[in-house]
Amino acid sequence: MNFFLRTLVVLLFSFQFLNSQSFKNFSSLGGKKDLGVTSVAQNKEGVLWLGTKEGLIRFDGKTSLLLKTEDGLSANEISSLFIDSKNVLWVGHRNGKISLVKKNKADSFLLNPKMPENAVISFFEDKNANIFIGTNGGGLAIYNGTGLEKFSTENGLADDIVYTMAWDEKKYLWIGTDAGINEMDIYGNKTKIAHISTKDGLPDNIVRCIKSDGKGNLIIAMQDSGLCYYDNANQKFVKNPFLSSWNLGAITDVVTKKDGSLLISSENKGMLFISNHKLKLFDAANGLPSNNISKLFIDKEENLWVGTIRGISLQFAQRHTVMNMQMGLPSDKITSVLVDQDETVWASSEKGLGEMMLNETGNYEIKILLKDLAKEGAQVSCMLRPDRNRMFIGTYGKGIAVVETETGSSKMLTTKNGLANDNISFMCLDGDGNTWVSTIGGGISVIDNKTGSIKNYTEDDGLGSNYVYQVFCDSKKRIWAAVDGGCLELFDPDNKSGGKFTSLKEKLKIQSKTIYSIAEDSNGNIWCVTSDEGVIKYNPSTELKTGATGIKIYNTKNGLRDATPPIICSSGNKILLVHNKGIDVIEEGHQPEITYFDLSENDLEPNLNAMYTDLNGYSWFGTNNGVIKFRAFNIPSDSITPAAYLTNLKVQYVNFNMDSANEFSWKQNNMIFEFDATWLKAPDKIKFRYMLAGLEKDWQQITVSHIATYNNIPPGEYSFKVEACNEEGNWGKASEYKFFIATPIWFKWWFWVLVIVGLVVGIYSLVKYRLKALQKQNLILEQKVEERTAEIVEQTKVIEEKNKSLEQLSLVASKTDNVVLIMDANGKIEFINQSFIKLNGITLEELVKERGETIFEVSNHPQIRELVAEAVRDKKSVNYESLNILKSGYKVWESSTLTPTFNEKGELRKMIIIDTDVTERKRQEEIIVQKNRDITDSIQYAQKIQKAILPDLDQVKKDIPHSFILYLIKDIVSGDFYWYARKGDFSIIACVDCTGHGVPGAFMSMIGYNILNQVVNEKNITEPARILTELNKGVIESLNKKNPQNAAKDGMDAAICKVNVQTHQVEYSAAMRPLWIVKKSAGGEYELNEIKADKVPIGTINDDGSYHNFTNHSLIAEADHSFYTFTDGYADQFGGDKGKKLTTGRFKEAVMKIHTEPAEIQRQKLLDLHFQWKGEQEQVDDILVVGFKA
Amino acid sequence: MAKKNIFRFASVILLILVCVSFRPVEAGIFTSQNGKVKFVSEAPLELIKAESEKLISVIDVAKRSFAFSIIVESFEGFNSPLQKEHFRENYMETNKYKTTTFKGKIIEEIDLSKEGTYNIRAKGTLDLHGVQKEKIIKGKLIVKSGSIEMDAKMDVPLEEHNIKVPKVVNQKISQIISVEIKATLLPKK
Repeated sequence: MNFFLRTLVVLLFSFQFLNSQSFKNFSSLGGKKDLGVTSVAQNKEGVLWLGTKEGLIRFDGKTSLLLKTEDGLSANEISSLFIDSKNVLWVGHRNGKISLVKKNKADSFLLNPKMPENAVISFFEDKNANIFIGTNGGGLAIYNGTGLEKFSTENGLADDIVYTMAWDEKKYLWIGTDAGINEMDIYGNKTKIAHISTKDGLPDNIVRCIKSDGKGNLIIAMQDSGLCYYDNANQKFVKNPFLSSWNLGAITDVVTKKDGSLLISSENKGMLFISNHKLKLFDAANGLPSNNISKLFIDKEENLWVGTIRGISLQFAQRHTVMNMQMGLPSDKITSVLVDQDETVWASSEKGLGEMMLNETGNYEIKILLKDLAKEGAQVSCMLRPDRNRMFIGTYGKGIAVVETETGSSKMLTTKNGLANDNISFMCLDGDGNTWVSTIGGGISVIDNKTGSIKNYTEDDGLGSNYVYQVFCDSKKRIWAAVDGGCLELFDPDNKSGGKFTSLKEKLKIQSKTIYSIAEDSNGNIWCVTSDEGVIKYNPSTELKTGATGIKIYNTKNGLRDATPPIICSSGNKILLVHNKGIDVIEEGHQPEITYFDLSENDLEPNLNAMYTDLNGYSWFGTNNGVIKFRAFNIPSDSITPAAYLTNLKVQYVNFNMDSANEFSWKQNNMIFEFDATWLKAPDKIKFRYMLAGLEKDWQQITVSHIATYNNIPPGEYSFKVEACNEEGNWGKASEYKFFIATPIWFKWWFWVLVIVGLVVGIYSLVKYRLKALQKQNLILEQKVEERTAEIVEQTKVIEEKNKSLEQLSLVASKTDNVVLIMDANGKIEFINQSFIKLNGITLEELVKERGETIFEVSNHPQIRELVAEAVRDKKSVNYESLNILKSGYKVWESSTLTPTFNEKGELRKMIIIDTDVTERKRQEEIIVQKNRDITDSIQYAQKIQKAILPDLDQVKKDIPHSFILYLIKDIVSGDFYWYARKGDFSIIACVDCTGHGVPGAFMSMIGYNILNQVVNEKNITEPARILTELNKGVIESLNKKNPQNAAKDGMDAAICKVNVQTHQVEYSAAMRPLWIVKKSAGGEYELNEIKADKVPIGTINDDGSYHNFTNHSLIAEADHSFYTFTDGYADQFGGDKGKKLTTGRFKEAVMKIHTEPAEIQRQKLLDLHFQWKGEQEQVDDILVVGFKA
Repeated sequence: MAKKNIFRFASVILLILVCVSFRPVEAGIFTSQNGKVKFVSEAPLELIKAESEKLISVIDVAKRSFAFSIIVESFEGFNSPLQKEHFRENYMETNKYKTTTFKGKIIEEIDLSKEGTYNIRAKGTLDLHGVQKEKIIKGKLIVKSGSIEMDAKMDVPLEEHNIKVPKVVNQKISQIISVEIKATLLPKK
């Protein structure tokens, strides 16, 4: 039954075995579908920029943002992109324009002189930050920061189409054009441009791309001749090292990875991947969105980005690859896997054995063998290559199929051939090349590699049971068995009986009875999967050294996702546990110890012990969902980690520019840090951790959040750190922001020091000041005390003196005849002297009882209060008299002197009343008063008489209409008088001034009057002069003046006027009294003329005893004449401002003013003038003024 | 867009004519009004061919520059009138893009004034369906008896020129069209 030979169905499939590469296609970018990507660049933060026909796309692996002219771009169609050393994105446009993008903001870049209007297709930056700009037909332009330096075919360039520029790491910039390569000495003489073409061995003049291979050589990609290298050392071109001929058409781009692999993109035939001398073609048929590739880009994560006409494709290194029915395998249920030395993969399933062989293009071609075996119900359980020529295929139920791989012939090895059992669970080779076979139910068989003989080990040989899941040979060539019921068993070959198995259950204190799988890591640890405890690690070597039989258990409690994984295998020092959810990798000494890998969203369903580790270190697993190839070891790109970066800072909830400052006040202590990290391969798997060093000692919990908030940060120095980790838990470089929050002044030590010092100084100063003040006060007090003492001494002296005075006064008071009372300030009588008591017959106590205790009650004066008040107010003594009616009824007049006394402050202290008996004087006074009264009465009577005899003024007025008489008596009776008589048509007026005034004057006036009457009325003498003469005689005789003894100077002055108002005659004569006449002068003006009187007073006798004959003046008065005659009293009146006499002069002046007035007016005016002049003065003399018009 | 193409084409002609007036006839402009353009679409389920004999060609021998222009509607052939209609209305949109041009420069430094056969590459801009794409095509020039025989081939990926082929017919229309250009150019008089 060579069922396996019956049919060999060769099914050839070329499928996309991706060689551990996975494609992720992004056809929808910036909201647009199938947008062709012409150029790719990546900035410092890891964000990708993609140039398209319709604008610039910013792509962070998750979201894409399309920028167009509206956002600042010079144009929408982009032909090239470049990131310079300052992280500025240069955008070359098809129309020759350039845009610059700085911090995600686009701006057109205006150059002077202008760029040529040809598409910008390449860029290069030299070490001096000059930017080289290559165009499609406009040559090369070099931007040095200020202007452009242009190069074209006119000044040395081979061609104006500059496809590419690369630095040869030595001296020259290589410029690829349509006419070969230009070498430009960019750090020397730029104009020195060398030309390399087909003439120099260049396979093709159209050089599309030049890149450095990282090993000092330049890779040159051409239009039609594929690739060549320029061997710098040997200075020659080496053509196409990998392919015998080039048939992929024009090359659009070339990139090299860090692992040395090379990727070449073509215009429309996809992409070629060359690695480890193996080729692989990628095109639309095996993953790429299109064959039309314009750009290749290796990002910072070592992912490959393929810019095609239908969007961009991401190719990244994945740890695992799945091969299943989709790829051409007969079934997804893979029960075992084996990989040959030539990398042929054998995968067994219930539908046959798949043989997968790599072809030229790196794709697998599959043959399916042993289909019939599957049909007959035999399931392949394990495979082994005991040697190069044969293959053992273990089955459940049919034993082992031994296949000669070259011939294809085979035979079965079963129990019939001595095999312990036909249910083969596992096979392995021992150190001698023998095959150990574990069976389910038969124990273990060992097939000798040379002879082919079989030896079996069963329960009798120490196996816990004959159900053995796996037999394993470790690096020390020990044989282990995973036994159901026997636990972990170790084979001891030196046993005399030919080898025995011993269970380590007791020794290692393993609880479980059943072990499913065994593996060994590079540290010599033996690992096994138990039925009950999880995964056990045991190191026999350590045990040997230390003697301690320790096992370490791994289960779900300490990190495993599955405690009984169906597959356990090692990769170096790592142990891989494959279960439904994925793979848990334990790596001793690694942080963390266990790393988790998720391979699928669905359950993996790995099959028991279906694993193989190939020569390249890859781990292969058979699952119910295909073959899984897993890379447990790390490749350089695995160490690339995402770099976190801060995107924003908010201070006090307001955006803050981190570049501007990092010092804050104590109030600015609420911060929100926003951060991100770019991980293009798996952007959703990024996690962060952060800490605020200075506040926190360790990292915060791992989070997917992009924000860290810190509130109320105390003052100090801080550093906010954030790290990002990728899907494998590898942490990248931290991004840091250092800042400082200022301490408020009251937190600073020196502030408190200052405060304390200040306080101390303050207190000290205060104390000192107080002390000083106190001292000063003391001094002042002492001074005051001294002063007071002096005062007291003084006062004592004063008091003593006063006392003395008091004593004296007391003596006086008590001894004097005068009555003395002493009262206090309120009038209360404090003391009465002996005289008082004697006079009034009453003591003080009795007085108080009878009358009262105050002077106001006791005093006999009715206005005693007013008197006291006056004395106190005026601060001087007040005198008064009062009548005291004694007890005896005797009336005593007392003259009292009330004297107030005051203290230093001027306050009333005491009052002293000293009474003097003035009764007698009073009595005399009364007499005098009475006599005076009598005299006055008689004088007043005399006045009546005088008044009576004076002429009737009405009569005078009647006779002389224009006349007035002004008559003012000084005393009750007057010495001046006026006399009037009417004789026929004549009126005779006399104006007489007798010597003296008052009574004597009045007596004289009587005499004069009588005489005048006699002379004029009796003797009918009318001539004024004769009247005077007679008057004189009469006066002399009356006064008996002839007698020399009586030669008194008594007499009178007189003026007589005789007036006839009809005839206007006026006669005048006067003794001592003039006559004034006011009349018009020749010039018409009024003037006062005076007719002088005789200088002989009436009453004068000549020496010879004769009498004087007075002069008689006569005249005829005109109408304008006014006549005045008067006594001297008017002019002699004292008054005015200076208390002087009125004087004749003023009198004349007055007359001159009034003479034209009516007579009464003149009289009134003269009267007014007199009183006005007199003022408060006393009238000095009698006044008589007569005025008239004739 | 078509008008623009014509205008551009015309201006190139004008420029060439101006140059011609200053140059001797021998080193001058060669033209042809009736060159042939043939294209083939080879898809799994159908083979489509069409051709036109109305290619206008100009070659400036001195500058080694060239210009070709063709009215798209001049193509005849196809497997059915309906197919031709689809070609014009749906794929090429001849109402918008009447003319297709290809102009540029010969890369190799050859002297076309001398008789001989020259295998050249021409770099130019193919303006097709409103999309301009730089292309380098291979061709052969035979200078003989005062004329230039031109034979060039190029592959035109439809997606490069925004010519969308519905998925339904992607087994009947190839994504890459093979185009052959043939013309015999004579000196411009």
